[in-house]
Amino acid sequence: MYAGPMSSYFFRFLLILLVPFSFFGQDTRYLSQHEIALNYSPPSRWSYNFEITNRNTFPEEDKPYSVQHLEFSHFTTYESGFYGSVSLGLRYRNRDWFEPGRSNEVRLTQQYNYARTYNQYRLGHRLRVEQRFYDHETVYRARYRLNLDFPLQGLRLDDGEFYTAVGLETLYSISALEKPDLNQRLTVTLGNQISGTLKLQIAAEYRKEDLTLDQENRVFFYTAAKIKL
Amino acid sequence: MKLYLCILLCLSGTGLLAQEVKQEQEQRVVVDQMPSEALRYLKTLTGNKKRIKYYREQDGESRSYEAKFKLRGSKYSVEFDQNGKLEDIEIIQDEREMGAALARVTNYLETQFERHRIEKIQAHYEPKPTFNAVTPGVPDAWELIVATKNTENKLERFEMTFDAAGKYLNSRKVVRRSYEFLLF
Repeated sequence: MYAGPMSSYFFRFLLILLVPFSFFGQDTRYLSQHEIALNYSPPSRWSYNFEITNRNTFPEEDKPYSVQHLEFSHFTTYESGFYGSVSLGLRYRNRDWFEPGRSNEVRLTQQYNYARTYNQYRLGHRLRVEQRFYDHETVYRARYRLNLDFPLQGLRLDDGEFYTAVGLETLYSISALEKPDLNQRLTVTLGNQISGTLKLQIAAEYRKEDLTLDQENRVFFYTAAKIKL
Repeated sequence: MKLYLCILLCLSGTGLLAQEVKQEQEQRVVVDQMPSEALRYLKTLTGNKKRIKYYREQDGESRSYEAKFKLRGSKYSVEFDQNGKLEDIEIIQDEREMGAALARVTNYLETQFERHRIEKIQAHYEPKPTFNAVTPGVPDAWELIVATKNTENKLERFEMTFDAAGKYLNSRKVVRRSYEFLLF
């Protein structure tokens, strides 16, 4: 077949497009995470969130599909100022049921969030400090997330309409047993407001792990049902 | 991966499902979908209109149209009924433009709420035989979006209307966009 100059340009262009995928090398692991969240917001400054989440691996050549953990979370939030909120969270992550010998985790989270709306766009800053308690160690983690969300149909999110969110988060962990660990996460979410009380979301998250140590990446696929009580 | 394709398909189906329920819905439309009378009126507004966008709002059976654009640095919003008849014109302004009316508005807000913050100011113009978009003059009313806070209550946002002199006329609560679904 004759390959004209056009196709040559096309292949060069394709090659450039494919460059980002080289990051997803052999060290990339693919995982899926599913969650159901219940949010209760009474007419006061307080609001409450409950979540059940499970994480699974995708089937690989040598390993079949497997469950990694199941976790239960709760957050209590207090509105502060016009655009801010502070939250306290408790999370229990069980890994031992699925991989005996792997330590379970109890996590305490302190959070400050600031979100402002600019026309249809909303920009949110989230700052978290976490204490992750395992059987034999405690890991302290600080994280900051910048999140932008907006409706995809018109200027306002009505029932039946789609919305999207893009988030960039930086995490830094320290513990007595391991070297400090700097992570970066990029998340793209697509959701639909099914009704006033239900939102369904899917998301893809790229985690660049161990920025300061060796290179390892993880890609997460999320599904979530967010129910307003 | 199949699973995710399925979920994506299920999600896209919900858009169709929701249309069966009576509800308010606002969406972007192209110029051809605007009533011709509305487009004729917009042509009479002199000045260089930039970034013009059209929207249609459906509230049950009733329908209205809106054109948004920028003119000499200010944001304009022109509303029409379903036949394209002009309903009102609103221009986003800052506090300086309110002049003496601002003091009266601020005084009202201070007596009503423990804390407040004016988030948006719109000069509201009723339909008139002639309207000069470039120098619109004193508005018929001021429409404000005000974030308020009382010691007991949560943050509440109101759309408040004041007359040209800053006298309070009416208000209605603005539904807040929830954030908890993106927070945790």
